[in-house]
Amino acid sequence: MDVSFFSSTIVQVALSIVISWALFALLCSMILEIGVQIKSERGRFFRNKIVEKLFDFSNQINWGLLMYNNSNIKLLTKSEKAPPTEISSKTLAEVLIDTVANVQAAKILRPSDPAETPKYTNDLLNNFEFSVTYLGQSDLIIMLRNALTKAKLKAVNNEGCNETTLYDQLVTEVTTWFDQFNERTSAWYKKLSRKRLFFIGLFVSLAVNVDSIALFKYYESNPTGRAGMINYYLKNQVQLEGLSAKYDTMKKVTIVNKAAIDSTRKDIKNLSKQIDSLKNNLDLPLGWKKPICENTKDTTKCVCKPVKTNTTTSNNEPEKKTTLCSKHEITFSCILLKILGLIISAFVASLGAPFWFDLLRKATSTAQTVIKQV
Amino acid sequence: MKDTYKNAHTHIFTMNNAPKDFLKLYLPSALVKPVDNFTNTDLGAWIVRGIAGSDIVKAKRYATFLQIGKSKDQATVFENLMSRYPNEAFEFITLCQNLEYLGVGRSVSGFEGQIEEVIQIKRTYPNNILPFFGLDPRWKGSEDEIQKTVERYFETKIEVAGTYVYPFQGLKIYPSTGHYAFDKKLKKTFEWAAANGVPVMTHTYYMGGIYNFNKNYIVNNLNPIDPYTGKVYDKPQFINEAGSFRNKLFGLTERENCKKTCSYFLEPHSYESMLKSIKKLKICFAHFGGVPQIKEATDLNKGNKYAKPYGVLDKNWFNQIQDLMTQYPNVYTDISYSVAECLAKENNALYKTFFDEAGKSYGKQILFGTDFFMTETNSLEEEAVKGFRNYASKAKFSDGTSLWDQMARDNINSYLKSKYYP
Repeated sequence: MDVSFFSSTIVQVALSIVISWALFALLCSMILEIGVQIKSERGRFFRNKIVEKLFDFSNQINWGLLMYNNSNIKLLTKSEKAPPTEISSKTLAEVLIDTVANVQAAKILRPSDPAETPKYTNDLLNNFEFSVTYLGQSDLIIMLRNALTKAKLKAVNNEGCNETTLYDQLVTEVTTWFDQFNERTSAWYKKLSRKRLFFIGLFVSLAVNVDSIALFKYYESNPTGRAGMINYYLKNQVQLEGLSAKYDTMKKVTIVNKAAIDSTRKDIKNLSKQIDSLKNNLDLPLGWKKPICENTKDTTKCVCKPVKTNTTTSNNEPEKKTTLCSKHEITFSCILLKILGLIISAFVASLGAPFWFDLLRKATSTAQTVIKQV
Repeated sequence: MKDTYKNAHTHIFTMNNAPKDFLKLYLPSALVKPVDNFTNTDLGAWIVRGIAGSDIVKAKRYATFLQIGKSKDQATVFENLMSRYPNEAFEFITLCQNLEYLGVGRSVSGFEGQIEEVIQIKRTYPNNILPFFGLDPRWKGSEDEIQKTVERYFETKIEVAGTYVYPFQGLKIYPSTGHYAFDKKLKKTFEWAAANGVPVMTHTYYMGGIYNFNKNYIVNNLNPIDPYTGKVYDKPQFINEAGSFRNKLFGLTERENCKKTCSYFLEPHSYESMLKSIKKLKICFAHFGGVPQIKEATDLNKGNKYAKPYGVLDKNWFNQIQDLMTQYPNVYTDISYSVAECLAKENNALYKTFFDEAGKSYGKQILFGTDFFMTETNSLEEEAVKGFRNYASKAKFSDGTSLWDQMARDNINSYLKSKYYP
């Protein structure tokens, strides 16, 4: 028995629409990415979150700002308005420890003639311990104090406290905290990207009339269109998935330079060309040149309101009922459907290209399995 | 003490050091967010400057001001300032601002955070920066705590390339943010400053600068007990004027009244009891009262709107400062900001006024300063300096000293001389 998973109309329609959505989402992700690259958005977002979260009300010090003024991070900064995109958690941890240890607000609390001899041979450790003990006990200082306590536990052996191990352990503890912070920040950034993708999606779908409902109707009634779209995807699967991974809004490292921006522009151009060619070859319902509301069904079955013609003809012919509904008639319900279709497209974009390409990968691999089993 | 020229009055604070809603002090609420966002980019600031002709001087000023103020950090602003003086070693008194209590939110950096940044700049440029510590009675809970903390900040040296230097050279107060200079919580600190020769700088530009716009706060703090006389300072009253149609339209009337009332905090007369009591206190009344007051007093522009200033004495502030300088040899003034305004044709005659003032008995108490980056709201820093320097280098006194040498070096050196700037 010749059974093909792709021969089912429902599967074909679903696959075609998901491919269309994936392409649309990819285009929107690329547009977002170019904005993000031009504005050095990721680095700024991360910096703003650090500055926001590391404000220490108790000591009236913003540790985040001081960290970004530290030479280790300053040297990684391209320009004033483009903070580094990726700073490793370990670097952040080392910088924070250094900043807290050397803060003048703690040094002024030290007695001029300390009675006790320093606990460690390493000044940094002495200063750090003094700072976390005598500065105002804000959340951040308490976290650092706890990190120091844990590090001490791990650094103590039979011969006493090994300072190198203590420092390494302290860095490890704080690095773990920054790892968690990075995860949280990534989640916040994802949320922000989704919002932005939604608006970009809305803008693009309005600009070029990407109406998900119209697409659905098109694929439902057009087997050639369905087959064309699926063939296009199967032929270009590797390339498209590569682009999807490249423009994943959640990826952490972005090289921000002119070449990267040019490359994104080139990718946008290429993808637009491919979408254009698909549109022309398959006659996809995109763009505003096509009628806004096209009734694919026979107009005789139109359910529009009948309108009474205000005529009683001289020869007393019975009153005729005509309908305002024609093949290209704009009706209220059709406008509502159009708006809904555009909003669905915007929502589709907000989920991001990787989501749709993952879905397609799963669907096609399931299809292969089904075919093999049969 | 170095023999270099000095600028006695500059600012390097950024928007991170100012309250989050700082712009609310200057703009109608509806404009705050758009202006803030728009001037976040160089392009935005450049466009505002470009489209703002001479009729919209304020927009132009704010854009330039915001562009510098929105620099990433104070080090960037300080480097920007130094770049305006390319051909010689100059020293700059930079005034830290404690702007935490203006009633429009706290700063992003925190005041202590601002101090840490300044100390870092001192480490990098120890020969160029002379930081003044921002002082405010609301900073700590008691006068003892304020004095001790300030002293510790001054005494705790910082390491610079293997040597140790004092981080701060003076104190800065800004009474129009809502307190009198005679505030009880500042008394001990001023006594300590006088004992150690630490100079104090205070803002004294009539109706110019930063004000507290919280009416309730002002009303509650307008009549405190003067600790130097033991009497209630009872004359000041909140000024309730109807205001112009424009201010009513934009809901700015109360703000304008707050600004007027804050003149009581700034008025030179309000310092008298303190000066009588702490005779050794070196204090500089910055801006000489401001150009409108100078012009009004020197008859260049009689009948201007500032002829009768708000305050207890109803007396011109330029004249009040002159009187204080005559009476107290440790009272100073500077010509900052005015020096930028002098570039305007109608103010050119002020150069001569400054020369005349410098020839009087209190001539050695007048300092050169620019008020960077506030100057950028009028003209470029370098143009303001060039204009004054060209005039002052040629203007000589009978002993052969030039006005420039006196104001930009000798007078500032005697003002700064202290345990922390020997």
